[in-house]
Amino acid sequence: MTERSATFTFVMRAIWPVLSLCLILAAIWLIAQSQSLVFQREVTQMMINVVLVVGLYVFAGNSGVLSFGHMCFMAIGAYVTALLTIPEIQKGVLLPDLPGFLADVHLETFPAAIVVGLVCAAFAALIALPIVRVQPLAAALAMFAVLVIVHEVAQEWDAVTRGSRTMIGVPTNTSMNTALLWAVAAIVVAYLYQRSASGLRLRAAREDDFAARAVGINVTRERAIAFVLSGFIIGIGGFLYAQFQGAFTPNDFFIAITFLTIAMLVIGGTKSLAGAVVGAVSVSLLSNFFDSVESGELGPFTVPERPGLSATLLAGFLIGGLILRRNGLMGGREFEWRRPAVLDRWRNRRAVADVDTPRNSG
Amino acid sequence: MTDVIQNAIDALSLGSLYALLALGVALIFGIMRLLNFAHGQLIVVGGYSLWVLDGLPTPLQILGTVLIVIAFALALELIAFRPLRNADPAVLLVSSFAVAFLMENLALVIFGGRAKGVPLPEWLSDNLVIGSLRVPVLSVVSVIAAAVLLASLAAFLSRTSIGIQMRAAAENFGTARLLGVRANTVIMAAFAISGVLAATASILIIAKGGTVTPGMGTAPVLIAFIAVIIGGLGSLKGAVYGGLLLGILTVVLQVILPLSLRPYRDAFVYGVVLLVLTLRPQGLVVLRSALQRV
Amino acid sequence: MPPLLEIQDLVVSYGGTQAVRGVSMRVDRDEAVALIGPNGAGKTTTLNTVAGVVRQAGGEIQFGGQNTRGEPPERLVRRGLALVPENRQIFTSLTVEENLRLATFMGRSPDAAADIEVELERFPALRSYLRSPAGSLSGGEQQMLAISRALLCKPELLMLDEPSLGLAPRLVEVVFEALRGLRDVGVTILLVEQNAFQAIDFADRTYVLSAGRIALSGTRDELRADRRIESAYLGGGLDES
Repeated sequence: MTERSATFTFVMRAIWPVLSLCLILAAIWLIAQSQSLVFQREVTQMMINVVLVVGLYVFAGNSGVLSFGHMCFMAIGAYVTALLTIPEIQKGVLLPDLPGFLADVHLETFPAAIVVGLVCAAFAALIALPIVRVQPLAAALAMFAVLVIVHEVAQEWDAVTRGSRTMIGVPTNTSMNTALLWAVAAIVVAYLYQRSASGLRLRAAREDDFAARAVGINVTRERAIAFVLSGFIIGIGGFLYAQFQGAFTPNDFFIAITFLTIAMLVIGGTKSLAGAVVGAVSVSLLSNFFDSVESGELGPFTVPERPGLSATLLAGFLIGGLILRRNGLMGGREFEWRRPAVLDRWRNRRAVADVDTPRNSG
Repeated sequence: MTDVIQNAIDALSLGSLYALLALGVALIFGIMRLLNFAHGQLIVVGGYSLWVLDGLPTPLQILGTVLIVIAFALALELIAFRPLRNADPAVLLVSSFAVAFLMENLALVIFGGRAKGVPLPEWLSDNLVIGSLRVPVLSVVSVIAAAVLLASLAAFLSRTSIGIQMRAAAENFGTARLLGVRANTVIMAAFAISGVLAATASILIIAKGGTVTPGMGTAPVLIAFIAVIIGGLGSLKGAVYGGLLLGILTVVLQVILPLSLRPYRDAFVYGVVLLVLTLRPQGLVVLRSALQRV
Repeated sequence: MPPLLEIQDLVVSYGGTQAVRGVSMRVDRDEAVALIGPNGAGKTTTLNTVAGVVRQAGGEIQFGGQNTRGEPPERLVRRGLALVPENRQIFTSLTVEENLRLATFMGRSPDAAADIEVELERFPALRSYLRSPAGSLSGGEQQMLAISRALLCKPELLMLDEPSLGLAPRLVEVVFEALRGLRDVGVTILLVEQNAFQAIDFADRTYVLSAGRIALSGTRDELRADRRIESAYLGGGLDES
C-alpha cells in the first residue's frame, strides 16, 4: 500500500462516520430539488427532526440516560426565537405586556439562532444538577417533570408566551437549505463531541459506571457537559421549528414530539450518531406515510379520517421494533470506512500485471 | 383555625389519592424493574369504562370499571411486556412509554378528543357539615378508600402465599424462582393489583373532575413517578410516603402561593421536588437492596 | 441405574466469551459429587445452567432421565432439583419463617409445618430468629437458612454453590457436618467448592474444572494421591502444565 493511499484511508476512517451521514442528507436534499413544495416542506421538517434527535442523542446516547423531557429545550428555543425575531411592531401587538428589554430586542436570523442556543444551554446548566446526579431511571423521569414545568409555564405566562393561544408572526426563514446546513452542523458538532476526551469518558461510564468511577472519571461532570451541549442543539432545533412553522402552541412541545424524537432515536439505535440520523430520517418517512393513512389517502383508496391513527401506528411500530430488534437499525454502530473488497482485488490484479510486464530499463 | 383543618383534610385526601397512584407504579417496578407509563392510561380506561357503563346502578358501574381495568392491565402484561421480559430498564421504559402513547391515541381514535362527561351520584359531590367545617364527601371517601386498600395490600403481602412470593420476587427474582415461585403468576398478580389501584384512583379522579379525555393519564402517572422517586425506587413504603408528601406539598403551595402564581402550582411542586433531588439524589427512603443493585 | 444428573458437552456463553466449553459429568443417585477449581473456572455457571437460571448454548443436560433445555428454574425445582446459590441469597426483607415457608408453597410436602419443624431441629439456631428479618442473621446462620430452605423443596438432587464462602472455619465445619448428615439420609449432593481439600474429603467423586473444561476427575482415594490438582488450580488445565 502506497503512503498516499495509507493517508487517504486514515483520513477516510476518521471522517467517514460523519461524511456518510452528511451524504445521506445531501442525497435527500438533492432528490427534493425536483419535487413538489409539499415534499420539500416535509424534507425541511425531516432536517429539523435530525437536529432534534442528534441533540437528544448527544446526551441520551452518550450517557445512556434516556431523557423524557428534552423537548423542553425545543420549547424554550421556539419561544425565545419568537421574542427575538418577531418584527417589533407585530411584537407590540401580539405581546403587549412584555417587559421593556424583551419588547425592544430584535436580532437578525443567525445571531438570534446563536443566542437561542446559548439561552437553552444556560437553562440546561441551571437544571443539570438534579438530572445528572440521580440514577438514570430517575433522571429520565425528572426530565419529564421539567418538561411538564416548562409546558405549564408556557401555558400560563400570557405576557411572554401568549399562554395557550398560538404564537404567530415568527418570520419563516427556515428553508430546506438552512435546515440542511444546520443538520450537518449538528452532526459534525455531535461527532466532534463524542470523539473528544469528555465524550469518550462519558461513553466509558455508559458502558460500566462503577469501573469508570474507579478510574477517576467524574461521571457527573461529563454528563453535565453533554447535557448542556444537547440543550444548545435542541434549542437550535426549536429555533428552526419556530421559523419554519411561523406559529406554534405549547402543545407542539409536549408528549407527541417527545414520543416522536425518542422513537426516532430508539429505532435508529440509541448508542450511535448514525443511529440518531438514520432513525430521524426513516421515522420521518414512516411518520409521513402514517399521516397520509390517517388523513385518508391510502394510495388509490380513501378511508375516513381518524385523528390519532398515525400516532397509534407509529407507537405500534416502535413496540414491534423493540421486541424484534432492541438495538435499533444501526445496532449502536457508526458507518465505518472499510476498503471494499473489490478495490483490493483490482489492486492485486494491477500488481500482478506490473510484475509480468517487462520494464523498459533505462 | 378552621382553615387549617380544612386544608389538612384536603392535603390528606389528595395525598391519599397520590399514594394510591404511586403504589400502583411501585408494585410493578418492585417486581419487574419496569416503570409503567401505561399506568396513567389505565386511569383513562377507568374513566371511559365509567362513561360506557353509565346508566347502570352505581355499584355495578364501579365493579364493572374495576374488572375492565384489571383486564386491560393483564392484557398489557401479556401483549406488551412479556415479550420484553428480560430487557434492560431503558428499553422497558421506552416501550412502556410507547404503549402509553399508543393507548392514548387509540382512545383518541375511538372516543374522539372532546371531553366526555361522567355523571356520578349526587352524594359524592356533597359536603359534610361538621360544626364550622365543610368536609367534601369525596375527601372522606378518598381517605377511606386509600386506607382500606393499603391495609388490604399490606395484609395480602404478609399473610397470603402469593403475597410472600411477590415480596420475595421483588427482592430477588432469580432466587425466588429457584424456590418454585412462578414468574408469570407473580407478575400477573402484580398487574391485577395495580389494576385495582388504578381503577380506584380513576374513580376518585373522575368523581372530582367529572370528565374524561384521552390525555388525562399523563398528569397522574407523572405524579406517581415523582412520588416513587422521592420515596426511593424499589420501596413500597417509600412510594406511599412519597405520595402523601406530594399531596401535602401541593395543598401547601396552593395555599401559600400568591394568587398570580397559583396557576403555576404544579410547576412549583415539581420544582421543589427537583430541588430535593439535587440535595438528596437517592430519595428519602433508601432500601438496602436498592443499594446492592449493581 | 441411570445417573440422576447427566451433563454432556455443555457449552455456556456470557456475551462473547465461553464460560463453559464442553463439560461432561454425572451424578448418580445417593452420591455426593464435588466440583472444584480456581476462580472463574465456570463452576457457578455450570450449576446455574443446570438449575435453569442460565441458558445453555450447546450440549445436553439430563435430570432424572429428562432433558432440561429451556425449562425455567421454577419448573426444575418442582422436578426435584434444588440449588443453594452462591452467597446464600436469602430474602433479607422477609422473616426467617417466611423464607422457610416460601419453599413449601410448591406443595411438594404434604405437611409443611412438620417439615419446617424438622429443619428447626436440624439447625436449632434458627428457631430463636423465626420472626426476625432474615437480614439480621449472621453469615453462618444465613447459610443454614439457605440450606434448610433448599431442603424444604424436597429435592432429589441438592446443589450447593460454595457453601463455605465467607464463613469462619468453625462454621464451615458445622456446614459440612450438616451435609454429611444429609448424605446419611440419602440426599444426593452436588457441591461446588473453592476449599478443595474439604470438598474432596467430603465427596465420593470430584471433578476439577479449569478454564471451562474438566481437567481432572476421580474418587476420593484417587484424588488424595494425585499431585496434579495443584497445577490444575494454578495453571490453566492439565494439558498446559
